[in-house]
Amino acid sequence: MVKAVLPVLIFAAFISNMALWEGLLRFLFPREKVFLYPQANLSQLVGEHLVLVLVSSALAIIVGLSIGIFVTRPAGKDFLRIANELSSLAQTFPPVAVLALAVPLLGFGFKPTITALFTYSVLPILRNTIAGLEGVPLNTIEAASGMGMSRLQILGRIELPLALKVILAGIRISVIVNIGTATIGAVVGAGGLGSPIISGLVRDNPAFVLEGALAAALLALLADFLIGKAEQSLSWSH
Amino acid sequence: MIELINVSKKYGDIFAVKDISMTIGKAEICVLIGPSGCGKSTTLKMINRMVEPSSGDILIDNESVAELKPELLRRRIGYVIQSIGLFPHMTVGENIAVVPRLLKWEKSRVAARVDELLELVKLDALKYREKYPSELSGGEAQRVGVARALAADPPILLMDEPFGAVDPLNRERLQYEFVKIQKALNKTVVFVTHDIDEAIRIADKIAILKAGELVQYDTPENMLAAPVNKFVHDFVGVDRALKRLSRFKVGELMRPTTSITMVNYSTSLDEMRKKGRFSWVTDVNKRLRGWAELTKISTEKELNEALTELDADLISAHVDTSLKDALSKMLEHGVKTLAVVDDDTLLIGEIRMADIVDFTDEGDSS
Ligand SMILES: Nc1ncnc2c1ncn2[C@@H]1O[C@H](COP(=O)(O)OP(=O)(O)OP(=O)(O)O)[C@@H](O)[C@H]1O
Ligand SMILES: [Mg+2]
Repeated sequence: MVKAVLPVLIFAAFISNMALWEGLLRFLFPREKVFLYPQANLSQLVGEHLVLVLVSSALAIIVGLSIGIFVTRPAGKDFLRIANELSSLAQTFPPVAVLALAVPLLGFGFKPTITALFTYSVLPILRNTIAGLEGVPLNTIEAASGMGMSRLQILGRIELPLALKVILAGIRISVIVNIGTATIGAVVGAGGLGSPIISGLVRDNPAFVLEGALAAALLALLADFLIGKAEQSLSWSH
Repeated sequence: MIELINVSKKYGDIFAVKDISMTIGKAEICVLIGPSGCGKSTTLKMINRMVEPSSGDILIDNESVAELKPELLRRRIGYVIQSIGLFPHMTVGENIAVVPRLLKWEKSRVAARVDELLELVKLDALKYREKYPSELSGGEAQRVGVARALAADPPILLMDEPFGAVDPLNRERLQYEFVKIQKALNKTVVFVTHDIDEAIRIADKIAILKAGELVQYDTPENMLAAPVNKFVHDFVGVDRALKRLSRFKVGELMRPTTSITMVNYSTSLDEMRKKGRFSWVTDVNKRLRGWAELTKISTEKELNEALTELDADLISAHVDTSLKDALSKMLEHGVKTLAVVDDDTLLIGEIRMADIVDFTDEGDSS
């Protein structure tokens, strides 16, 4: 636990230390006049970014898990193929395109961004949930059933724990990609770490771009680390 | 008691099991055997409703299993599947505790039961409780599988090739231990195997299946002595006379014998000379020392010279040894008679090769 908290604290301290950022960017881009994105400070931007990521990822986890469980049950097995194809197809679909499609339907702002991010992150979770559940050996399920477990007990005590490692790997990929993709939210006015990046591109100020990009990268690293820790502590195989 | 009444299972147009009727007595080990695909597992799984029969009925203690809720039925029947199926994410202890937990036993009772069962299957509870199945050898995993099936003390055990994945030596030990456990706990066992030696070793009754049909259902002794048709005859093998010997113990053919004691042999010496040229020699405690040629003995000194002192193990068989093992010992050491000893290695009789051969002939002609 302590080991997980420490990187979070370091990240928070680093993000909120604006003097340090200014110094770093001044050193890297001495010819610019302004070094920090003026509309909002980094902590605010990280906060907005986190909300985008957390809301869309949470939805994606809930929906991805549910659909994944459903299509691997006898009742839902008719939909298994379609779910499989959908989740592999979407990997070839760029997130910008999802966003471009979401805007005319949902307008600008928070909601279309969440929708686009959700759509994009649900798929790796769905794919890994299906793979994880299908990877549980049939004889293990037969043993459980033969010992008198109900379907629900088999799912909760056998299938999900055994699939957890693969499912968490899916969540990890999904969340990390999501942190990067969420920067696109700025294009449609959802804020977040995309704002300095867009602004920097428009005003031709690489310091702004790096400010946003570096913070997003650090956030992704932190998320990777934390989910990795969860994977380690939750999964049974050493 | 388990009764199968005209039980059939059809997959499409094909019978996996066809019209089987049989009764498995309480506390008996019934072994289902036959070639691959003959319907052994299907028959077994219909008993705990993992497979529903297409027709017929199965009764446990006169109650039809069709009327019981499958989950509740299964918690009362221990089950070891063809590949053991230990849960890889649970420790050995948690694996064994599955059914007691489903039955909502108290924590302390579950923990005590886990330890008790590990000791029963000869695994050190302290050492194995916290291990994961991936850390076990094949034989250890099989033991845990048996312990898990026994966890809630079910009156019935269904076992589908439980010792399939173990090397022959360990397999024999597991079989031996299992029979001991079964006799001590009075479980009714239905046991699937395709190994005829395993069946002969552990079965009270053997059911031979062929293409879904029950060909012969009998004690191993009778089946080996009188196979009903060529299929059974071929299945039990050409050495069935020898296999049959493995079902009988030395005690059943043992003759009383005479022996001289190292100290006071002289009293009965004349008597004994009438009976034969040789005599077993024991010490004062009746513990076997060797044998002696009687014609050469008259005094104590001569006894010491005439005595062929031998390792008791080489010239004797325990009263519970199988006739087959006794016979192979005779052949191995080139003797026609073995002394028979009890648990304390005290001489209690002798067993003769001629008697074993006669016994085989009897079995063959019946
Ligand atoms: N679910 C199923 N669907 C269709 N056919 C099946 C099914 N289960 C079993 N069978 C068929 O029923 C027959 C009996 O199968 P079963 O598993 O009982 O054989 P077995 O005697 O246990 O064989 P083995 O020694 O190989 O385990 C086989 O021909 C098998 O192909
Ligand atoms: Mg089988």
